[in-house]
Amino acid sequence: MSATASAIRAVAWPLLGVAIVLGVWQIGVMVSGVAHYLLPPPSAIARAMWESRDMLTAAMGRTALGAAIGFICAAAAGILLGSVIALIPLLRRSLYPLATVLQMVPVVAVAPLLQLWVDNGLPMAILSAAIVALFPVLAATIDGQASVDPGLRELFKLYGASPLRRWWKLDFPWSVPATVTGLRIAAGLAVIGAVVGEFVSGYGGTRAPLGIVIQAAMRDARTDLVFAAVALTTVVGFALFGAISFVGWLLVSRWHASAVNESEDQR
Amino acid sequence: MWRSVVVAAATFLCLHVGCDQSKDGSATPAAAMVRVQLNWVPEPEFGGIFAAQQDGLYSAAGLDVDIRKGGSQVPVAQLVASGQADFGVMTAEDVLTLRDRGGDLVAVFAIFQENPTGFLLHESNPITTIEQLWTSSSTVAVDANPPFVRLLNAKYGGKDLKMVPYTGALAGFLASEDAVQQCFITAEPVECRLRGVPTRVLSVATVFNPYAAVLATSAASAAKRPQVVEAFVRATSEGWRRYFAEPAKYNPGIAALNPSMSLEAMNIAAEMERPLIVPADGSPIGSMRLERWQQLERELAQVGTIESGRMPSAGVLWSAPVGTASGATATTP
Repeated sequence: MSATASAIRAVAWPLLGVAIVLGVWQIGVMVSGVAHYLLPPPSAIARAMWESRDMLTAAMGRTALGAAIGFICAAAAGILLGSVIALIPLLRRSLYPLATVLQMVPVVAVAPLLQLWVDNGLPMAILSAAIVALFPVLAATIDGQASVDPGLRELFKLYGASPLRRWWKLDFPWSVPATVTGLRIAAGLAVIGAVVGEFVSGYGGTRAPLGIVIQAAMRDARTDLVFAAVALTTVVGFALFGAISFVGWLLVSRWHASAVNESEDQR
Repeated sequence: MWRSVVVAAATFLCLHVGCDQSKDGSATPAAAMVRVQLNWVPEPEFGGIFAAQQDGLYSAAGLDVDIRKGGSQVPVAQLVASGQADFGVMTAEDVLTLRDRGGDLVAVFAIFQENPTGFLLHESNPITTIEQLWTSSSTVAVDANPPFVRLLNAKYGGKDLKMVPYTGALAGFLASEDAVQQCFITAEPVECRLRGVPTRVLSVATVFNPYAAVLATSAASAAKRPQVVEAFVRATSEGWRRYFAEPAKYNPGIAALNPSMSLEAMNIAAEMERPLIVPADGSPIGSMRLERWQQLERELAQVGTIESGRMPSAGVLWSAPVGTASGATATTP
């Protein structure tokens, strides 16, 4: 099968699934007669999206910025911290449990607290996004580097490689596939974190990000606009996820079993 | 045989489902289940409702009332219109906005005659009027784009103002001398006073003064159970009369449900809210005038919350159908 046909097939099935869900939703709302302020049909959501396209696009840009910066901070901190923790056994034993606690902290609950420490608007969205996105990257990096083949590690030892050189030449490259998986998970979480931060301290009026658009639309009983804004948060999440997947594919597609197997499955 | 089965089934249903057995053996109708959704946590602004429940006025009227606390994100109007709550406390603009969207709500009782919404500032803040506030570059914690913000934007611009979500918490306000936040003039300022924090309050009522809290129900529900609406309104009205006669008697019960507001603050708030709730013209507590709903309708159309030309205020006031006892408070004077 050609690469083009394979790509079309990869896109066609998810699109068909989405079309079926939207069709059932549209018909279900029309047949049941449920009030649109409770559950609008997809056509009403599309209309709201089109009519408010300027405002929604600007809001999406603000949310995407907060999520992306938060994600980049979490990715950098997660890979750096994860590598240090994996490299030093004492730190792994003492800090890893603490890092696990980070995952348990509900960002919704601590967001009002964060508001006391950082500025409203973008800084709050970035911090909130970074907090929820950090753990998956950290855990994946640590696990990836801790699962290096012991035989290869012995080989580096045999050749007298320093710990730092072993990390650069063996541990870090070995952990890339796992880290990319962590980054993919973190991409979606970063958007959720950014929106939670916006719920607490996003600017309103003409500077509103999607989190505030959702709140204002909910207040106005504009359920169609709420759905439209929520749909756009998923677009931001997909964009981040797609970008990370692409970078990950560039990094591992030539040699890692996961990419090679997937490519063979598609033949 | 079939007759025996039917009688037995009816007896079972009467005993276990639909009727209560009184002590003398006679069957009485079961209390009507009534779910009341508040739009905020229990506070003196709902004093009459809690007083009616604490004194058993609802159960005496044949109502089994379940009061559900709310919060800033609870969509009370939608919950009531969809039948997930029987009555809800909401703003008059919530009622008209949802009616404009197709929700068939009717207002049965106005809690606040005067709008208690305001802006809370530290006393050290040089801003002394809403106009100064709206032309400043302050950061203001306020609900997400409510009609009064749009009205103020239309009047004063507010281009430099930075609006952030209002969560109801005081921590952010107390942490910064420059902080400004939306408030109920009977709630947050009182808490600040008790904590020794000097504040200033700018009332929104000077520019926007609809019924800030009304009890509403769905028109379908009201048509189906007019006696329930009648009984609920009557008991609530009596609850407010009792509450204002002796707020300190009822506030401990409310305070037990809301640890974030002290009993002392509730007692002060009850006195402060009295002139905002008891109509100045001597009409009964809960009364509403259609002209004020029409005025609100014009304001909502002006700021684009509802479309001009539609008239969601038409039929917004519930009136007891002919044949039931007259509701003292629900509609026009």
